[in-house]
Amino acid sequence: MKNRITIALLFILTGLLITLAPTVLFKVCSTEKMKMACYYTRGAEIGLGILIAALGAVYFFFENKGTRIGISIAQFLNAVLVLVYPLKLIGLCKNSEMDCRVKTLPALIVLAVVLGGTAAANVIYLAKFGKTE
Amino acid sequence: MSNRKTRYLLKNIRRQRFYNLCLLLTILILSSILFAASVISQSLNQGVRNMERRLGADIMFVPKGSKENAENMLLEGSRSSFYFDDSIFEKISGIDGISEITSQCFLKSLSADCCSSEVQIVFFDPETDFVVGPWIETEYSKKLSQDQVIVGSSITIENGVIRLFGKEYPVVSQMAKTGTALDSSVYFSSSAKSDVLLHAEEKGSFLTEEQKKGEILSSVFVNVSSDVKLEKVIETAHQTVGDIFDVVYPKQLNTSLAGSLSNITGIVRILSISLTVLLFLILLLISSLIMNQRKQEVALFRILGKTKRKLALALISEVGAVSLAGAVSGCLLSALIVIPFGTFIGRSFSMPYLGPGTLKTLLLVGVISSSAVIISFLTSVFFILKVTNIQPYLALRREE
Repeated sequence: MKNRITIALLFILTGLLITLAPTVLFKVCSTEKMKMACYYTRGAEIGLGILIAALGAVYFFFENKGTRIGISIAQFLNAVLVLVYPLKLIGLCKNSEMDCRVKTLPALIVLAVVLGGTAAANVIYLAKFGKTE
Repeated sequence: MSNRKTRYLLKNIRRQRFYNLCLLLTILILSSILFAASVISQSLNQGVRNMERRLGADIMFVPKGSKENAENMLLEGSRSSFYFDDSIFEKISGIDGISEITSQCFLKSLSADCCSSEVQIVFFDPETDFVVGPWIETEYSKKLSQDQVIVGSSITIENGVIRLFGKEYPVVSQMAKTGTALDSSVYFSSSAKSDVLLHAEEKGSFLTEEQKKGEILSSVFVNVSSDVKLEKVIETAHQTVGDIFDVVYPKQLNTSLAGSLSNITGIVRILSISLTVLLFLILLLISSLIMNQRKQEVALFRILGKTKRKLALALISEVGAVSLAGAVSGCLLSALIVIPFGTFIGRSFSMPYLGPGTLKTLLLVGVISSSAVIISFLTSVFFILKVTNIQPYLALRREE
């Protein structure tokens, strides 16, 4: 029960922060003049953040050890996606002095590492010590 | 260490969970603060040192009324364009007492062209340049042709070219990161000026009447011979070209930056010393509590035949392992925030900022972690020796 609550809360919190980082906390560049790559990355991160938070909520309701390991692996892959969108798939503004590179990208790096680290550690923990509740 | 010993060590650590957690958290918090403070102060130091090398001119002549813009451009990297008629260069270079003289011309690119933002275009004369030249020479020593450009480290290049005003220019070199405005500029040889201005106009970029004329300069950088006073050169320049210029003293700008930096590093030094003292005191307290708690356990082991030396070593290994884990995780947690947010931190201080490389970061993690382990060893060794030297009979009796 303790593992389910702690990890679910961590997943939900990270998911919400991933949604809030490019929109409220560390906004991407302004779209007043034109829509740049970071605008589209922002959209993708909002969706991904919501998915991560939703999987976090789902994690809480599953007592089966195997299912929880599966959700944790999915969250680890989501963490990789959080980074791949701005760095490879969609991209950010090309000038490294722009807000999206100075503020949004570092915030996403931190959140992706936290999410990926938590998910990986949880997989190892559940595989070694976890039991179906 | 053998597997059996490692298991025994981990088991002991888990048994004293509360105290070891206190020890771990104390070291984790303090080492993360120390790491962040060290990285930030070192990066600001490096940035200002690079700025000092960049502002290597005694005097910068700029058009009248552009002094503030020029200072902001040098210090904060804000984009600016202001112009003289280029005949001023010839007139000033004839003044006695000038040892080095060079000129530059600034232009802003179209917002959406290459970099989703404006970049500063700098036309410089590779023959005479002593301000930007040294930075470029470290990366590229050949002559710059009309079509070629050199770009700062923040500019993203695709397939070896950069697109400006609708035309692609081959990039011959990308400069090393300096942490200053040099990083987001594009450098052309001054011979390319008329061509670039022409392309800019063709692509609908707004050019002022001065820019259209093409015979323009934005600033003249001068180094004065050591036996001549700066004021004398400025006075002669006024007499020669009239009251059409303002004077910026780049080296003095740097002195004010260095002043702000010394305030910041002073605060960091005081913070580091206070934290180390605090760490020492907290660890003394934790060690005395842990060892007091374990007196009975140590006495039992002595009765069962363990030597004092073996017991002392086991206790020291426990403290060492917990401290090392705390220090390394503290440094890594801190690095996770301080390193990606480096540019943001530099921007918040309004100062040039150049983050440390991988090797320097690893070295810093090593130094802080080993210092934390040494401090926890020093704070616990006395209590460990005391508890292992106590007579088992006395230790057990006191616990009754």
